[in-house]
Amino acid sequence: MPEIRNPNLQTPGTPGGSGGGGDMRSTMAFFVLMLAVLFGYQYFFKPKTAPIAPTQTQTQTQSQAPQAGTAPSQTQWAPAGAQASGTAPSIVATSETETTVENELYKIVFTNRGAQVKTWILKSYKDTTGKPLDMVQPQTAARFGLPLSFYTYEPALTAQLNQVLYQASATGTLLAPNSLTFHYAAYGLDVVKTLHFDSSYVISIDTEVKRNGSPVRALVQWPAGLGDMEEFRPGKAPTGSILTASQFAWLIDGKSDQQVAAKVGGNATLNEPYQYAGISDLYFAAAFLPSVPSDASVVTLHNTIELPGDLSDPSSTKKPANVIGLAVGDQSGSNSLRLYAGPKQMDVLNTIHSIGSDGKADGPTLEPLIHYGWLGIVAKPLYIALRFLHGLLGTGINNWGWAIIIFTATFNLIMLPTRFVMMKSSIKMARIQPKVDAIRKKYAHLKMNDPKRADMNAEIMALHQAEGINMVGGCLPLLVQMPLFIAYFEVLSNVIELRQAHWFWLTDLSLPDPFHVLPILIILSMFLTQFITPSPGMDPAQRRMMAFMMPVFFGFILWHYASGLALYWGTSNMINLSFQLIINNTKDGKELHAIAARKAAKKLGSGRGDQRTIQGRR
Amino acid sequence: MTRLLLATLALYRRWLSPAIHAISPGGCRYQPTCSEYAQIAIATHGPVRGTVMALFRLLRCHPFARGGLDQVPAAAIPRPHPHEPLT
Repeated sequence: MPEIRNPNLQTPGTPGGSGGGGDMRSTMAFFVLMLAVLFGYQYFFKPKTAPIAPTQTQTQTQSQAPQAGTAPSQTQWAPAGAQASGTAPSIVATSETETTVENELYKIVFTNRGAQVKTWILKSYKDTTGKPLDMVQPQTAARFGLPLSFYTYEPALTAQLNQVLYQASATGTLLAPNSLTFHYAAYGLDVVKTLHFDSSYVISIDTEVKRNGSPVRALVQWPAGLGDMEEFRPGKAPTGSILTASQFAWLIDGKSDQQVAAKVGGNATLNEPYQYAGISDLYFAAAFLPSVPSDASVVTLHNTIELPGDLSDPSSTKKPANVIGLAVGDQSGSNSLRLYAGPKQMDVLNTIHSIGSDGKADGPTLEPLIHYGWLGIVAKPLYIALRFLHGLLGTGINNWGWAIIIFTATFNLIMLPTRFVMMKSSIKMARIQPKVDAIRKKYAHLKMNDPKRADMNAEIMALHQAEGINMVGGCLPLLVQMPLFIAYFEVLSNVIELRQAHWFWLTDLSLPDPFHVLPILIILSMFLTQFITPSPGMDPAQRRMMAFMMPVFFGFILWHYASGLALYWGTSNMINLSFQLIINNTKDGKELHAIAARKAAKKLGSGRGDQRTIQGRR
Repeated sequence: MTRLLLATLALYRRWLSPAIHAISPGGCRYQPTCSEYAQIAIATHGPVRGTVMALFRLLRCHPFARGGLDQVPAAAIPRPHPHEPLT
């Protein structure tokens, strides 16, 4: 409080100051600096990074043995560090077969070579080229391994486990619910991988690896990224699209956290009670849920792959891209896991519970995999409201664009009374502006720290009161509007439902307008609004600057970011514009225009007064 | 420091404040406005105390405040031999 005096600060105010103005050049320099700081903050703090280094680094093994590429025949495999026991019967397959498992949501193709996943198609989603979305990234999988392969601490064993031909319990196409077992037994090894499928995105995995009868710790891995990773998008990334690097995300003891790909350690073993651990990119995730979290063991995998800087041009300079993966299992050696591989969609993730402390599947859900950016407190309710509206619209006009428009319109109508009062007040303010200017001029020679300044403010206040000006709304409209703008931004760039959501000519609400219609419309409407809005107490130069700069500034932003954002801003703009028009036609508004016109006429000389002159040229 | 702060405020009042008010109509419930209050406070009470006072003023601006005249308290009478300002 101002009244409380800090005894350490008995210095009298440094006299003078620069009288408020400062010299213009240093001021401008400072302005630029401030902007730089702001943008710098945005740039560096945008990805929510958890600077948590892998906590328990137990073993640092060598990099994984190359698994793919050579593909030698299985007979070549020597017993990996084990005595061949001739007594056990061999269970091996003689040829490579494929098994396809399908339900309404996915179509997974397994190969019996290594009992791994070749492709994992999500039927409800398409990639940017319009093909069904594959959760397996072909380029990285070819180099670093396929999902559901094994990870062990012995490269030779890993290679063997992932290269031999297993005997599959079924080939051809299976329809979920179903189960599939891969079995391999030879050279003292006995490996069983059992998979269960139901109608959800989740599959359950049970594995057991034994060497000469004793269990070997072999974790199940999702080794190399997801199919939707933006680094691999064909063609140049659209301007303004946000590159969300893959993340390693986990949940321990009910607390979720994540780490950006670049900071994920390679081959670090983490023995923590993981309720889930997975990798996720902007819209999709693959997360393992251990059946016994207290015995869970996670190995993070980090590789880099050289990608051409411009993917449409293979000869462009290559730059490294991070590819992360993970292996999850049980410390005992036989694993029991569930795996979620699918979209980061709230409804879906909320139905998937991790294993709680009582050993039942009632722990926290996978929902923390979704991030709403740094303004999540506003963005998440906004998303829920939009989703509610979207559901309300029914199947007939099942469209997110309309949900955005309706929400914006409703919101603006709620804000209308405040807005109305504010607009009336500013009209009154404009009327008394000459008097206020006169008072200010009277005191203009005083320095900022002159106690007589108080008299000036008292005088202005008295004038306001006499005219009945009531600024009760204060900065409320603004304080509500800006966070909402940012929240829209976050929702549009993070929520999967808005990915590839279309509205008339907009093909994807999370990407910029392909035909530039909305930004142009917004610039025009903003300019018009500026032009017809009375804003007292601004000098003409300032006013002209604002009338041009603000629309250009917003237009630029909206040009480069999600078109859904432009849809919101445009709707809200149109409503405000029409409302301002109505206000301007009221008695007060007309009077004000008359004042403005008179002033303009006086300035330009009596003969050339244009009766239609509006505020902008006051 | 005082000069720097005052320059920032002047800049805000000249360019940023109109921009803000261009997005959303409105005025201030208090007289002087928060930015003017901050200028006066910093000029009168120095950068540290002035900034603190301005921050508390910002906190006083909320939807349930009545607004009105809210002047910067007058400066304390300077001591006869003030030591050099810290800045």
